Amino acid sequence: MLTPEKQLVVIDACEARRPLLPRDFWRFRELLAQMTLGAFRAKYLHLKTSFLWFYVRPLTVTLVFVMLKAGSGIDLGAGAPYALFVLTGVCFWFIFADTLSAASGALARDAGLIQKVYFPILILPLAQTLARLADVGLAMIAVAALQVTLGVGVDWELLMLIPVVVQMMLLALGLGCAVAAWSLALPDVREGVNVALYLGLFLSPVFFAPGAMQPVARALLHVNPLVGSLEGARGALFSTTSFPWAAWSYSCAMTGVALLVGLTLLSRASRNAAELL
Amino acid sequence: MSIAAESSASETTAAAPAPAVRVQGLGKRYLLEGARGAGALLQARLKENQTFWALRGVSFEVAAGERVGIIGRNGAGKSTLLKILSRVISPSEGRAEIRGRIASLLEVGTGFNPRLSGRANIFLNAALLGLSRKETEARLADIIGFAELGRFIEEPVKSYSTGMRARLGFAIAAHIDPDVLMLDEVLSVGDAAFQAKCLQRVGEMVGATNPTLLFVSHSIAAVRRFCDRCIWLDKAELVMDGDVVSVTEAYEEKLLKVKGAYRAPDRGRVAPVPSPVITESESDEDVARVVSAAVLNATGEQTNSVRIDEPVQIEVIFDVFVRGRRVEPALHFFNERGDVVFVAAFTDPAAPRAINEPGRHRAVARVPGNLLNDGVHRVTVVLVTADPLARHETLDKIISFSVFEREDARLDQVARGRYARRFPGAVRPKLAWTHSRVN
Repeated sequence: MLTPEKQLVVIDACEARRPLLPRDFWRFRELLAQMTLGAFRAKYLHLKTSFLWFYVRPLTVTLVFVMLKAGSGIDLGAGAPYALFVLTGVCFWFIFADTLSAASGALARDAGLIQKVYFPILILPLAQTLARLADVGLAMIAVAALQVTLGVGVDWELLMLIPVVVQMMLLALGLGCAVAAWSLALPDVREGVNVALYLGLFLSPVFFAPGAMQPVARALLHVNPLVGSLEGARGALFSTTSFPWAAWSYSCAMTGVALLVGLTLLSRASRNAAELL
Repeated sequence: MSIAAESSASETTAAAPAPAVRVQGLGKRYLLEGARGAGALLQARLKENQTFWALRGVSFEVAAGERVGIIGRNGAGKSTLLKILSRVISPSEGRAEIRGRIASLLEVGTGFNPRLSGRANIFLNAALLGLSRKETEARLADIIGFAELGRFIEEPVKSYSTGMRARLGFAIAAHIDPDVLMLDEVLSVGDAAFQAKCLQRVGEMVGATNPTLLFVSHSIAAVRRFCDRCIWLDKAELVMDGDVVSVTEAYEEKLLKVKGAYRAPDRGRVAPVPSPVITESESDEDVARVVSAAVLNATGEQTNSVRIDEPVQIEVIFDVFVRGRRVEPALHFFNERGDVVFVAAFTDPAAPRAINEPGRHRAVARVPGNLLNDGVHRVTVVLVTADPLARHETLDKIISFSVFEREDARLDQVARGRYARRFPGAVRPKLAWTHSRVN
């Protein structure tokens, strides 16, 4: 036998929820790896030109905004050439939105598995989130290329790029888990999330800088935790923009709250996931 | 709470080796439509009429290496029990403890990614069952060999036939060496040849690594073959828990009305029933009457079931009222499908002219082992006179018994040979085979 220590599995009706991180989560690390690989394959390896398609959306949206700016003469950006400003915002926004959307649909997508075999269901949204890290790499290639072309330098704040990316992905994971768990009982929630993500594109500093807003609007805007993430990404990347420490700290705190709520809801739901799906 | 008290009591007395599975007061309540929705997640208070119990108050223990069959009608709670134990769903009440690695055979093809090759899917599926990459690599050759996919193992699974997917899925599940193996009606999927192979592998696993086996099945024959203990669930509750023979006998008696003994009522005559076998006229004359009939095992004890390789005896006790009428009993054997297996006439060499003395008589017919096929058999008992040809009493399918086979039967013991499948046909005789080389 390969497992000399016989682990004891206890199934108890008294426990209202399964633990946030199941004790056997480590044992299923191979499943997490396989699921991540699967999610990556599903996005990139089934089409030969998938990598190119990734760029179509951010590049076209950036192009539209650059043309709008050129046509209207209104500059909503700050600290960097507008094209670079918008491309960075659009890339990171879509990474966030896609990750949140994939994580929140992860349980429904693999409903067949959940109903037939036990495994820690946190693996499903987590794998979707991890697979989206590939998007970050692709986005960085485009952003870096444009940055070099436009001659915008980097400073020591570049070190903050990784924390910002991690924070943004964790925020997407936390919210995704919450939506995934909630939508088990109320499938309509995911439709609401789609609307929220659509609005979020305009309510986040994707193509405008918070600094270009009126003080009241700016204060309201900062309720959105993505302000810290998007501005943080720009601050980390461009030497011309300083890192927004206050806004990003708020984003980190909100990420902590989102993770706590998301994982709690998911662990509550995991008891009954197989029946609710 | 009684459950907590029970568990603390059992912990203090746990001197014996810990059971592989311990189930205490396990129950599962489902919400009916209308009670579902957000309330389910928030565990709002529910009205009793919005719920139903799929399982309630089930307690048992299974020692390591024990092989337990779980039987019951549809909706009895068998699959719910197994789903709780495999942690797919959570119980509404009670507690269960399972020691060691749990594996339940997945429905065939669960968790395959059709775009990936068979080999990649082995890793994916094994990971789903909780195996690490290293553990999977150690089993890879065995799994590929068992699945018999040849060069197709490198092809994407979407190009596989259903049978190929089934073989691959089973091959993975069958090679994870669990401590507790749960099988839920695995035999109901796939074609006959595939089922045979599954059964064979289950037999090998039980023999080699000796996992604790929990086996849900509608097939009493399969439960008798693989299990040494049986749990009978009915209407969400545990009805009976005991050795496989007594529980399955009780189950068959209740559900299939299999009954190895008959005693005639004290008064009155049993209404004659038209028999498909006998065309003789029914006599109104009171010449003879059956007192009792019974199925006996090889040692003469009354039984409801016999092993396929052991003889079974049918005992008929009857009263003869008239002298010199050549009364004799006859037996008609029917199988589960109602087909006549054979008819046996009275051929006791000690009574060449049948029975002519009035009084109480006992006749026993011995059916050799390795003649009947497995399954339920019903016996019609008839009292006839040959000259003039007349039927004096017909007790249609009045006694019955089931013939079963054990997986541990030796090759030379039964007529199965090296084949795992169910043998078709009314009988399954073990023939005297010889063979010699001619060139």
